[in-house]
Amino acid sequence: MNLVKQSATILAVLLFAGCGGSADSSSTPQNLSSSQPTPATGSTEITGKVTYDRVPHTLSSGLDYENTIELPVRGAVVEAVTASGEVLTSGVLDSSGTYALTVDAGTEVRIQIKSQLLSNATAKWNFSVTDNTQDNQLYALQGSLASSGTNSRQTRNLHAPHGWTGQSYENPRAAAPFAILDSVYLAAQSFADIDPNIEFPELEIRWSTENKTVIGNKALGQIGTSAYFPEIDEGTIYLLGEEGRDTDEYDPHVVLHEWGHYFEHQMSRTDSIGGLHSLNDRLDPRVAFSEAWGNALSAILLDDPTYRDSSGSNQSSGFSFNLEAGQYANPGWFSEASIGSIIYDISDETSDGADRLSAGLGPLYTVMRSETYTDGPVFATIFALADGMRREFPDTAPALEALLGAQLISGEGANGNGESNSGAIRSALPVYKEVRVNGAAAQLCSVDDAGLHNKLGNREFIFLSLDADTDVTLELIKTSGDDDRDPDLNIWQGNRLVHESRSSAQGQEVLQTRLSAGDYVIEAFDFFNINGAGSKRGDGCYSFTVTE
Amino acid sequence: MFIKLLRITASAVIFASAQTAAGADHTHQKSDAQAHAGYVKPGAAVALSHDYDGKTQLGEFETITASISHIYESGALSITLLSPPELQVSAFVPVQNSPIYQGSTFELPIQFSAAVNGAFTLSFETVYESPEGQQSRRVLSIPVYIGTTAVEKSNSVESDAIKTVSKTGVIGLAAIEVIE
Repeated sequence: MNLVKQSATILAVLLFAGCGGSADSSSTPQNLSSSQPTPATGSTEITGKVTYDRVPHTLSSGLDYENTIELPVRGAVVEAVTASGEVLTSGVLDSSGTYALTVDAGTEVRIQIKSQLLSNATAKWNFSVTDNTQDNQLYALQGSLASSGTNSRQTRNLHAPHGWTGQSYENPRAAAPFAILDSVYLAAQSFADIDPNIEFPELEIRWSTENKTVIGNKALGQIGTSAYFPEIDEGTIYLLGEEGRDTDEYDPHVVLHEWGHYFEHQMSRTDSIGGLHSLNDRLDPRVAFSEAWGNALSAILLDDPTYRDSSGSNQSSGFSFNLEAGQYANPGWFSEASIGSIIYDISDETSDGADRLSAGLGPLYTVMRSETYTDGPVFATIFALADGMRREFPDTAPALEALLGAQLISGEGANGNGESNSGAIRSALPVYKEVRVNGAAAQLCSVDDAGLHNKLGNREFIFLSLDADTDVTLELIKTSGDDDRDPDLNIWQGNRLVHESRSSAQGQEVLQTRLSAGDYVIEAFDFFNINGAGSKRGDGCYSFTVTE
Repeated sequence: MFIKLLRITASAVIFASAQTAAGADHTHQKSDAQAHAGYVKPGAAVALSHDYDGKTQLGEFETITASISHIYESGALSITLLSPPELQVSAFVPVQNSPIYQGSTFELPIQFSAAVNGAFTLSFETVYESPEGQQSRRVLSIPVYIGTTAVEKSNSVESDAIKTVSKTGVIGLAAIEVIE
């Protein structure tokens, strides 16, 4: 048994005994011990099990309250608190949802379980579910205030109900934060099984019954939709909770999809520009990979390739898609559906179609955590992942090539060299063009054939390598397109944006700057194909040069 | 006093590239179809804009137009309205499996009124069906403010105030507890 599993099975232990903690959420357990304390004379060991209602899905992906099951609350912080909220002792629920806390006999205490997963063992994490409409406070499942009695042992079992009474949530939705946490626990534990020394950056998941599909002030619950926001508090997930419209606490694929964005952002690398996306889209390859990773990770962790998302009146409708289906339009390196199926097939145990690979999550973790992947000069796409798999796990290469080939992906290396599937957008190939200082011009285009903003063809990627620090002039000059065409460019070094050039000059963009020695990717695009609302969208082609 | 509501007979119409404001200049303003910042969950790739001014008097008949755009090249879209019981919707024509094409937009006239003050939401449940028969959904909503009680309102991303205050307590949720 690895260290993480050992730590997870340790029952909650005496902490802060008589030290006068507080109800402040920063009062996190410390000094977790590997052995249970022996209750002292005059003390009472309170033990118990904590469970929550898990509402499954119907076949049509609505919520199926009739078949609710009780599951253990795993890994959450448990506290014994006084009437004033003083924390007498605390610990962490084990993987069965059980705890043991020791307090003085005859003490009036309440057992509460915070919506916080905490591990201070070899694997470290701190995940919490908070309410963005109430100052981002933690939730706490609370038992009654009662005497610990005069015996040496007392049992207190707590359960968090879903609150649904048949037509509405007439009762508090106590299970919701713990359903979310349990999905996250699954993710954290699964990665800790692979890497016992893993240390997750802190993450807050903000959920409220007030979280609506209105775009606006998140403190009022106007979150728009469930999403991961990398720019909010260094990365935060918001989840919907509005009854009768869209709730996501019992949609574990949704929770884990967004957690997957957290993982790639904070533990690996993402170059995705986000935005709306669909399975049939021809997407910017960075977006396609990122969304596919979220889909596939949720399916891998849940061991269920059918992604489900409930919504609507009584949470009774929803939609689903199967990562194993393989029946989506536009397969290729720009397809969320194609890449999702590849990632899932790399991991899953089932052999079907072109899938003869059952490598588990470990190889994906190894590649996505490797420096070659995280610090490489080119973007995180299916090509970078496949290149990492070939490098780190060469034995899997034949099976991997079969998976890629089945989705019409043939490019090699992290840059997709030699890729032949253009997605019917001629300018999309090669995936990365190349320029040299004072060399020949690269011919680029920005087109709207697949849509706007984050679609294939909106942007071109150009590789530039400098042997020494150089004063350069980058110049995009229109060679075709109407008078509205407005080229712009970004300069990336790894996944760090080092320059933006966004003049409104029509038909050209010129940037003079000094670049240090190294490898760069220049992202060139037409402003009106990635911003704007479409009135000036259109195709334009450009000649691109870098001169000294 | 209950007033018989006027019924609008307009139906949903598809307009190609009807959204033009943001494209007028180099403002870095994103289009409605990209209004969702962040890495959004999978679902129908649709977005909502509207002309509601954010205030409705008690008993007033408010007429607004919601515009639903999408990013699809083909397929069909269905749109139904989900409204709370406090809002009386007197005019809305749902969209049933309407074919779509790249750049098309649904303009949906809605008339509503309310007899109680408060903040509510008008929601549109959208179902996209691809040519291959694959369905996906997304709910989009308009915040509606009736009377004078709902003063804290915002439907602009720019006014978003992210609270990151230190946490001083917990939100209690009552457990079902058995003590032995």
